[in-house]
Amino acid sequence: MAYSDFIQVNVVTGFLGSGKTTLLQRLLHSPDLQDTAVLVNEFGEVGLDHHLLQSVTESTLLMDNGCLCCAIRGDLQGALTELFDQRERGDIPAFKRVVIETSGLADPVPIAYTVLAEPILQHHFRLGNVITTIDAINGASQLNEFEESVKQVGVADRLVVTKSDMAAVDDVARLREELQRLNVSAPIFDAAHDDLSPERLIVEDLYDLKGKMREVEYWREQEDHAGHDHTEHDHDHGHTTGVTSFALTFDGALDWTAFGIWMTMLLNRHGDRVLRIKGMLNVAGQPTPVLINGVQHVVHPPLHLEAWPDDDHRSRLVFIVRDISRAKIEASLAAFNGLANVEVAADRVA
Amino acid sequence: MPTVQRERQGRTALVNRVLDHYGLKLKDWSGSSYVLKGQTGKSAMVDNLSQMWAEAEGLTGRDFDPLDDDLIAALNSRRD
Repeated sequence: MAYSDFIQVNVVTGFLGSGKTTLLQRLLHSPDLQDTAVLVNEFGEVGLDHHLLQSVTESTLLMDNGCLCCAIRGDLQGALTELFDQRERGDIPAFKRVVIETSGLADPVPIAYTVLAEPILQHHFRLGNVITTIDAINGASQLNEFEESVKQVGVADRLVVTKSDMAAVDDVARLREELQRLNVSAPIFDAAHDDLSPERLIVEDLYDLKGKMREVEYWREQEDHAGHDHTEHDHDHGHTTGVTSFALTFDGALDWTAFGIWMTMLLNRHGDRVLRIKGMLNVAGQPTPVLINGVQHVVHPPLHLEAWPDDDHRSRLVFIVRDISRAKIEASLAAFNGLANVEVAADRVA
Repeated sequence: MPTVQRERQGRTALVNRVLDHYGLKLKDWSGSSYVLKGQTGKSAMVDNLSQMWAEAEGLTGRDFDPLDDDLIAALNSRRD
């Protein structure tokens, strides 16, 4: 079975009162999402009416190394395995995707780790999009006060601003600017004014045939008008201080082995501060680009695109990091990649 | 030589360029694992790169930081 055919697991996260359930309610009405199973951590005040709805109690099993992001969420492991068994037995319809609604303070990364690293789940499920809701009225102060909120924004694939019709226009604009600064690669949707397409929010992702090209195009657009480093600001960012996102472009092909060595070394030492790495790489010896996608220590399997989107064959990498400078990342990656060229040259001499 | 074996050899050689900075050496072990050896004779078996960095830090008691200026300078000097 192709990886794209695995059951897609999406995560809807965001602070209490930021409109997660309302968003889900709205999306689940769409015929596009009828083949979706929904897992919620608690049945909230806003009732969800869906034929494949189950509740879980959030519990985390810490791994031996004590790393919080590399933790299996035991509740999800059990719930997803049970859902899969029911589906196999024909007790429930053969759903194609799962949407998990987290509690307000939940860290989405252990969910990603559970899907990608749990020995049984990884053969049937793949991680889809992390969708984060941010309330236009309280979102800015939550970002300032709560590290959890910054992380939910940093690891997101889609950002949805809610209640913008109840907030001042200037405040909404400032919030969007801050969200863009924190996460340059995630498209921002406005729940009050945009037509929220389930396809764009959930169905399309990096592993969806149509979605992956659209993702790549979006990163490139963002890089064009937000490619500069966003760390320079003259006002207080509270908990968002130190979190920044930037896009790097490299001319020439990158050595895949050197890149792998660099990335594993980076994530071993700084995985807790690397919220996201996404990129499209021009790999030496490969005719088409390779997509990479990582959330903290959790890295998706690399994906080969069938073709380059256009004539621009440069490598592009988007980083969302805490307290790591763009210059350091650039210098380090260039040094590792340069090493591969020395290796090639040395081999030729030998 | 089969491609997989050649890839492992290339990867090991490249990793050793980095490990050299810390006085460590990586050797292939039967084409399925690796042995990581320190200058004092301490060694550890590792299955993959992700595991190797943590073991390397354990063996030497040092941080293996790809953003470290000294390491970057050392790697760049190999190109000169």
